[in-house]
Amino acid sequence: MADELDVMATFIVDRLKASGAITALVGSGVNARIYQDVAPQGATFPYIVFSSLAPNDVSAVGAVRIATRDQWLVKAVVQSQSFGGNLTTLADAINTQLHGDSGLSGVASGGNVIHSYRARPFRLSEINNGIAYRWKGAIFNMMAQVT
Amino acid sequence: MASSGIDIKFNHLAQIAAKLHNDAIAETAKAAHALEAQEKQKVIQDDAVDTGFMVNSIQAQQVDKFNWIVGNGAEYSPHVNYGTIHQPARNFVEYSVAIIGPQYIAAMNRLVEKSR
Repeated sequence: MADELDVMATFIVDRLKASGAITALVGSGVNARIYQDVAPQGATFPYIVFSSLAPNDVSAVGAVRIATRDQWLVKAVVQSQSFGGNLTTLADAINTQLHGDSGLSGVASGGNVIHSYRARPFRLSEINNGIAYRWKGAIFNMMAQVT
Repeated sequence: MASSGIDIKFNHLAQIAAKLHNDAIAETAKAAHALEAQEKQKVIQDDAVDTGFMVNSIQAQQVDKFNWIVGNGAEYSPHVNYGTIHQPARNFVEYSVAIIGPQYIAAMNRLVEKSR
């Protein structure tokens, strides 16, 4: 049975894959380079990684769980020293696809995403073995229920 | 002609206001230290400890009466918190704020209720 995090993860992937701007850069269908938590070793750049940051249940009296709130980090990653170009294109498309939705009944298999909106933008630099990487995206507040 | 009124025998409003102010300062300090403890606990829970430098450097520092900063001294801490190209995020900041934040707001609400 899917839990609330599964519902939100499915929602994120489905929304991102529905964007032509995103699939043009990271591929489409089962080959889309959209990964949860960490990309496989040697994955082609650019790609998108998303992670659950702060899940918390919304509970009622007794053993009733109403929904789960979470913050999700959704970031595009490039091997580059620039935050512009494809990285900005992907970050903008991520925001377009995930920001400002509410009342999203039945958008994900096994549950509903009640709302999704951007909490704050995100960018970070990383240098690994002398190679520069840039990340850009946003942190989104979401709430989901299982059905 | 009938008339009515209220005689004020005691005026403790100044003391109540002062106590509320001081209690709010205490609750803010308590929340900052609780956030520090929660972040440390989450880092250890996620097994994100190597030398212990980052987890030991997580500290709550007071800026003024109602402003505290909970930070740490490890320059790599954003990469632990948000992940790297090889490692998943082991988030301890947002996770801890999501737990302690509502507790702080509830404590402040209780102070207001008590003063009524």
